[in-house]
Amino acid sequence: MIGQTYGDSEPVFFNDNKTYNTNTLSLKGAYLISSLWQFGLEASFLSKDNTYNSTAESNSSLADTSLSLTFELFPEEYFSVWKPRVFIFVRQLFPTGKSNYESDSELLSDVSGKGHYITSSGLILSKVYRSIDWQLFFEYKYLYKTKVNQMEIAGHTGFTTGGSLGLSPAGTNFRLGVGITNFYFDSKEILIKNQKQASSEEQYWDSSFTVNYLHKDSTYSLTYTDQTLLGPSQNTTLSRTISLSWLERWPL
Amino acid sequence: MKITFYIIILFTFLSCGKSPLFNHQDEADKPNQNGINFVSSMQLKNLNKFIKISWVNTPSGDPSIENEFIILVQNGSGELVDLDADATFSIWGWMPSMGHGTADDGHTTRLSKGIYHHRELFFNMGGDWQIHLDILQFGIIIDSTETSLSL
Repeated sequence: MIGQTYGDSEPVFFNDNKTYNTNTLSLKGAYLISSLWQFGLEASFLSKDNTYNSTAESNSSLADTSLSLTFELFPEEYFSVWKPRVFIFVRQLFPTGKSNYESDSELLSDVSGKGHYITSSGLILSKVYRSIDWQLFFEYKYLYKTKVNQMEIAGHTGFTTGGSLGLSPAGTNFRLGVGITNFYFDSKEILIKNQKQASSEEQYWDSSFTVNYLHKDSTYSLTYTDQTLLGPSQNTTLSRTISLSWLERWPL
Repeated sequence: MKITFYIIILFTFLSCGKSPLFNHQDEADKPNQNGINFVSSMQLKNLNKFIKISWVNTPSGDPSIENEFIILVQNGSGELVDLDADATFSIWGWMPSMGHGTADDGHTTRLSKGIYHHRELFFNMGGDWQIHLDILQFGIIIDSTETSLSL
């Protein structure tokens, strides 16, 4: 994490006296129930090291966990240059992580989740044409009302919208990709000590650059994601992330 | 190919907000409260009393730095007066934009007639904060006021 945007104000990048580092280990699995239906799950474990002047904290914790069900609404049944495959999905997120409402650390290093049950549904358009692939996606989220530590956080909504473009150079097993994703959460009303408080809306953009390598049934990916390139950003932290992933496919 | 090109162009334009990379402040440059020991004045409408808080040191968003302030309680004539018997302060900080509280809200002690000391208040970050001063009697809020703070 390299900075923050408070409310409606301009982003502030941290000075050298403040370092917030997070290591994330994610486990994602998907099972093809039939040719059109897929079931998925995702769990992550976070390890945070935060330092601000003389205060230093380290915390490790489980993040939020999700289950999803995806249906291929429009399969690719004949050749088309432009017509994409279309998927719809529902996802249920369980607040297995600790939210900032529950945090009891000074630097919020124990925060690993949103603190809400979240039901979401969305649409994915995906197309591969020759050596080029593209994807567009949209997800609507509903964050349920929750009560934490004498606080009551009202239900509110969020959206994720994005797209990616990939190129696989001829004769190689590599793919180069770029992607943009916008995350938006509505203002939320919080009842604390009999007073209603309204937070600002939350918004940020992920810009990602990926190299994938396909070897037999395995895909290895190196991704750089930057939240400082595109805006606007509002009421959020700003991070730069490098991730390595290994995807393995096998029949059951 | 064309559709792909247009989609990418569309997303690029959709994201034409201010880039944080090119429109940010560095934390060291962010203006602070620099007013040495500044004072905030507030009114308790139900109790018809006036409150002034005076920070002992320039308040800081650094969670390792303790913040403290002196509270003066005055009546309409400007005389120092105590809170009513069995009434106590309940003071808490809140960052309204992000929707969370402080690292530690601290505690208040009475120094002398109409003068109270609030200490061990620790913020967990810079930004815009609200300091809420609730007056409790038998666990019920009988009056409250607040002041804003930009760290």
